[in-house]
Amino acid sequence: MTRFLVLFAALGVVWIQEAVAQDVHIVSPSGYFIADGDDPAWAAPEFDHSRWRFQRDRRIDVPAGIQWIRAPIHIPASYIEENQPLSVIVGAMASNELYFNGVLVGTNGSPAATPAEEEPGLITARYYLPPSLVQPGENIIAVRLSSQQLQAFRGDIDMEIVISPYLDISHVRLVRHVPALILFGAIAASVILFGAMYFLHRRDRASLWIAMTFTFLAAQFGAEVYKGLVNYAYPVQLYRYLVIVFCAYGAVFSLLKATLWRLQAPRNTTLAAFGIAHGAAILSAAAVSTIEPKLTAIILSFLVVCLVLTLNGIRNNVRGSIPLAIGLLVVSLASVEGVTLFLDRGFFYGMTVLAAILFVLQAQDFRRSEMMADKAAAQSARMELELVKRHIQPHFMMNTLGALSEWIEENPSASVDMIQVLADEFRLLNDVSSKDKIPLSQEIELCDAHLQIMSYRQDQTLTLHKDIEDASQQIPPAIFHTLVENALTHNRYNEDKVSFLLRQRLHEDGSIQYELLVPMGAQKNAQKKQRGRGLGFTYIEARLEEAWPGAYQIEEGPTEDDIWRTSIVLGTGQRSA
Amino acid sequence: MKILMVEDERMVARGIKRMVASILDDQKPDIHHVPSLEQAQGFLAENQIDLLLLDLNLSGDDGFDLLAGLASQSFQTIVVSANTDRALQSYEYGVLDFVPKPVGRERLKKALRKLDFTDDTDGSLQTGRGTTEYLSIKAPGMIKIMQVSEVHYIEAAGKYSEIHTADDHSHLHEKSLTALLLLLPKNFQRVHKSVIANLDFAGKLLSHEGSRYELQLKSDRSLRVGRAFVNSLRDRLS
Repeated sequence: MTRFLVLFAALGVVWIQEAVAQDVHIVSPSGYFIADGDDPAWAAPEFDHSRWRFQRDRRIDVPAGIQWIRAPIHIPASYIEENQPLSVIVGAMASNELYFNGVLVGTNGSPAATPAEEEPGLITARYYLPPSLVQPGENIIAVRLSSQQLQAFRGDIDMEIVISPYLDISHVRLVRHVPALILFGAIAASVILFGAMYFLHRRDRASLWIAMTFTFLAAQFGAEVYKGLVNYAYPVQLYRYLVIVFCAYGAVFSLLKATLWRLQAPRNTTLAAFGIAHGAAILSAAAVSTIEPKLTAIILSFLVVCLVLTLNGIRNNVRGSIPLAIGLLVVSLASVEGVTLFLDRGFFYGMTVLAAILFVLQAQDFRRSEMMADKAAAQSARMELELVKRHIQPHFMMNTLGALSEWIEENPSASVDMIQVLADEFRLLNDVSSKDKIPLSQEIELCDAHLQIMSYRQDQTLTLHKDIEDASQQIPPAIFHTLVENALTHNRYNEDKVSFLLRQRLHEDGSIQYELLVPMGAQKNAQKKQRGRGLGFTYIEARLEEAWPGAYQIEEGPTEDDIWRTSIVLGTGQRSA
Repeated sequence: MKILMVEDERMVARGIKRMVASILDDQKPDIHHVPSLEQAQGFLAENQIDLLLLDLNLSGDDGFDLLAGLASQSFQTIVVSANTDRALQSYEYGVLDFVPKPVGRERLKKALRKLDFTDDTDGSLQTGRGTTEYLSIKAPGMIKIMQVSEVHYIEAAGKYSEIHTADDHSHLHEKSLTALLLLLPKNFQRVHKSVIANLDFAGKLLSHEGSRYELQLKSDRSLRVGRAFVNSLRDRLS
């Protein structure tokens, strides 16, 4: 099931990329000649720029003043034969003027030598190229530009110069945004689904962090596509980058959190994972100079830590680790396309695949927890029935009635008292049997009532001494009552007075220890000295598991002075209630 | 009359003791009470008793395992238990009666009356009165359970009985002929002071000179018939 989904998602991504690639007709310069300073003569097509600084890279180091860039560009004859209008698109964090074959075709803001004089241009400028200006083959684009705002943060700027058919522009825009809209839909659906799962089921922290991952991802994605949807003044670009970096960090941080929750990693592993991820992110981001590689380094550092954790999860047979590892691998591998494509789309495509995988895993988890809840409810009902059944089973009932009829013969007023105590025990049992937790004080009442009944039955004095720190603490119903009952069933006391002891200790780590000490008396036969864990024990363990799943300890055994000791510790481990 | 009561509930034991004492007042019952099977076995090793009153569920112990062994002994056993669903099984093991808890005086009296057969014609029991389907027999190191339907005839052997089966084997049982007749069903008939026959295997009643009688069995064996028993035997056979 999961494998099919992964395959399906991967095919979808490939298909969308193919569709986008086919429809874009663009030409770009193959290199840039750059000169600092300002001279109107630099616009002329015949100007010899051969002594200018030359670079093929689009990243340009802009000085404090004005700069000129001359870019020879080859325009195919087919563009002109079709006689369609062309456009030049300049994307840069700069104000600029564009000259085509020496003719000024437009300005974007106004370049100037000082920040005060400069009027900031838009981040993307689109200039109309009159067909009369264009000649097949070699043409010269000259750009006069300045980037005075945000001097301290600016550094290199990305200079994108593209020529494409004017009418294609809207179509290209639309096609480019189709996958974006699809992805945004998937990401938004993830936020809603996982967010809802967390709010429905507060203990499900994994869902919370998955929802956070996709919330950050949606914000990052929004900031990414903002550029294409809204044309803004170039200084805004810096804030956009800050938003993108913050959101990308938030997304991978939340993804790591979610991964750790899914794998139920212990505290030490969690701390180590965060330490390593942050360390790797800082070191690798420091090693590269520009914004896109830095961001990619941060994202990949976290992804690799997640992947390592998940691979470890596969080794330890943690459910769902394999699909999760596949998803993380898909996201990580998307970076082989290069940083720009990774940040533009690869990261989002990969994360969409991961979202699909998480949908399936979460649905499986949901179903499993539903089944477990059903099972627990059935178990609980069985426990309740068992508790009540123990008291209407013939051995208890008939012997109690037998003793009662003898008390009526011997001492009618004692028999009336016995009936009262019997009624008390049944009333208490009725009150507690359907609950999953009751206060210790109520449990003690139940034990006392049972010991009184047994005192009447055996004409003995059976008492429970209490050494309790907090009687309001909650425990599953009838667990000590069951232990007391077991003790009276398995031991025979010849003495006229027998006392038990119930001790409660609150520990500093939040756990609570209970000890029941019972004299061993005469065992009915030798082999029974090693008591098997009978039905009563099954009852106690089931009740403890129901109320403190996995967070309790129970042990029993004889002590040196012939006392049978049962110790129950509640609220152990990290899953304590 | 010597009685041993095994009961771990003190008040219940007191009640039973009081009731037995008043029901068997004329027989001067000597009732000994122990709370466990362990102590009961110790007591039985050193004392002869006539009746065992046994609670099957003692301190969570199942007295059933020991029931067959107890039923193979010379005394009669009456089970007193809350677990009435085990009653039928108890009868199969050869107990005299099963009295459900809580114990009522009339029910206990009825059980104890089964021990008393003085109302029989000549003062000795002639016809089986019980319902048991199995007899427990002590064999070296174990208790064997034998189907009553396999028993051909039983002879007295001192204070014991010798049980003869269809396959011509014989087994010694600690109970007397009279005690066995209290348990065995009514197809068992006393044909002699010291012989009980299973009438399901009976052939002809032969009379010889000098008023000697013989009961021929289907296996061609014949059993001597006591003069005092001829009339009732003849009634049963016709």
